[in-house]
Amino acid sequence: MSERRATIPEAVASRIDYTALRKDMSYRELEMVCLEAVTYNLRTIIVPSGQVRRACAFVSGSRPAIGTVISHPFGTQAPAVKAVEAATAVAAGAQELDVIPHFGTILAERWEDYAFELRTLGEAAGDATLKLVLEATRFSQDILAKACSIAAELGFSYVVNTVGFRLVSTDPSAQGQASPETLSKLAAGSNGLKLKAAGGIITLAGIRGLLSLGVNRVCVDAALGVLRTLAEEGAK
Amino acid sequence: MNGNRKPRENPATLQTLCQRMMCATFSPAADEQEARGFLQRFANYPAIDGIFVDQPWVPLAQEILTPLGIRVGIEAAYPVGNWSTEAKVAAIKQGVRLGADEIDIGGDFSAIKSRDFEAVQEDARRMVDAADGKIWIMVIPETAILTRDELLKTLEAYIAGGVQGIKTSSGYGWNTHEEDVRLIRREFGEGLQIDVSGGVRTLAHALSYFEAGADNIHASPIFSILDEARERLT
Repeated sequence: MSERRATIPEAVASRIDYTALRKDMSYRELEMVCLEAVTYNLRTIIVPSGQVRRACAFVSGSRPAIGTVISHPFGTQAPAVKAVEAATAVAAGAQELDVIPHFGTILAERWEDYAFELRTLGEAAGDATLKLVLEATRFSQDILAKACSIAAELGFSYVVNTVGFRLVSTDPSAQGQASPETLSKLAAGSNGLKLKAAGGIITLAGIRGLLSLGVNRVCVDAALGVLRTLAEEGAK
Repeated sequence: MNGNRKPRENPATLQTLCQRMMCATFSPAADEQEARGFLQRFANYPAIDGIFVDQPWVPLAQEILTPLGIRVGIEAAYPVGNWSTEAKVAAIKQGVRLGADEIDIGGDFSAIKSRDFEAVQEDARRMVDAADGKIWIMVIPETAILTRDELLKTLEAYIAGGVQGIKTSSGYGWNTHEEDVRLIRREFGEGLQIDVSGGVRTLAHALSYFEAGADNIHASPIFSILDEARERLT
């Protein structure tokens, strides 16, 4: 009798951005991440920009798509540098770009500079799906709404609640979390952008809870190794 | 362009210590006013070697720091790394356009961990070519996550690619072991600039890394170290 592998329910698998940004990930480990994402038919695999071409070689067809992060994790590069990273990634096969804007520009409310940055990225990205990565808990509701509004006008499709890195401290607990409160705050200011939740997402129940709040995509960190658990939870 | 290297004996005065200390403005989520306030505090001390800022803040940093005699640096592929070489080359060229003095740039850690040292060398060579001698490059191998063999082969690949200086760590929890500094200095001699970052919290830490062979030291608690040095050094 053959043993059937538990699957992740389609309603969830089709929402997962499987994110593999671990610093010391070898080529072999990247291949395993891609194999997992193919096995569970996840929506997207997010890899560093230097690994896009290699990841594309490990998948075929439209799903999982390969995505990358631009100016990860701090967003401190000039627009021209982000544009090169984006265009190079798209040429290598990336279909989705999670873009980290310059937070200092947003906090200073230099909206013309911010719009220039996003426009420059949009021109470099071709047909790739653009996601704006913010730190929702760090911004006022007004600034959040303005940042999303400009991004929506400039062709961005998603807004993400956190970079998921220790942005302001070396304390791991300072990492952003996909809490219902944070996602609700983001939803209130999203101005038409779809929501992507990131940070500490490890259970199927947690993902379903986020989807019920109107979240469209979730980041599942490949380093946490939770796909099998998600599948087993779905089989119950 | 050089790394502004100083004699390597252990600093005995506040001034000679300052000349070999560096830091960064991040938090990246700081606003401009916080960044300006942070940079202006350095007027109260002898000039430190350099301060690293977001690329959009380079003009602001130059306005405040150049009159103080402090160099302005930027970063790329930091602290996580694994960016495409094209993105890193673009950052280096942007640094030249901005007139930045130095760029500290993350290595190709996936290639290192895959023992693809040809790729490590090629990545380094393209970065060095892009700098064209117009901006000083320090490449970050992240010594704490490498085996001894990976570390030595990585540095051989960097040097073969034309790299003249390394910064041991990005910080962010990957602290630098003094033993690694001693090993690198012993194996690669005085030709390689070694800047230490990661885990330097006190003056005693800083002095022990200098003793181990560091040229410069990056420390985020920079003011408390300088204040301690003001009390304890001449």
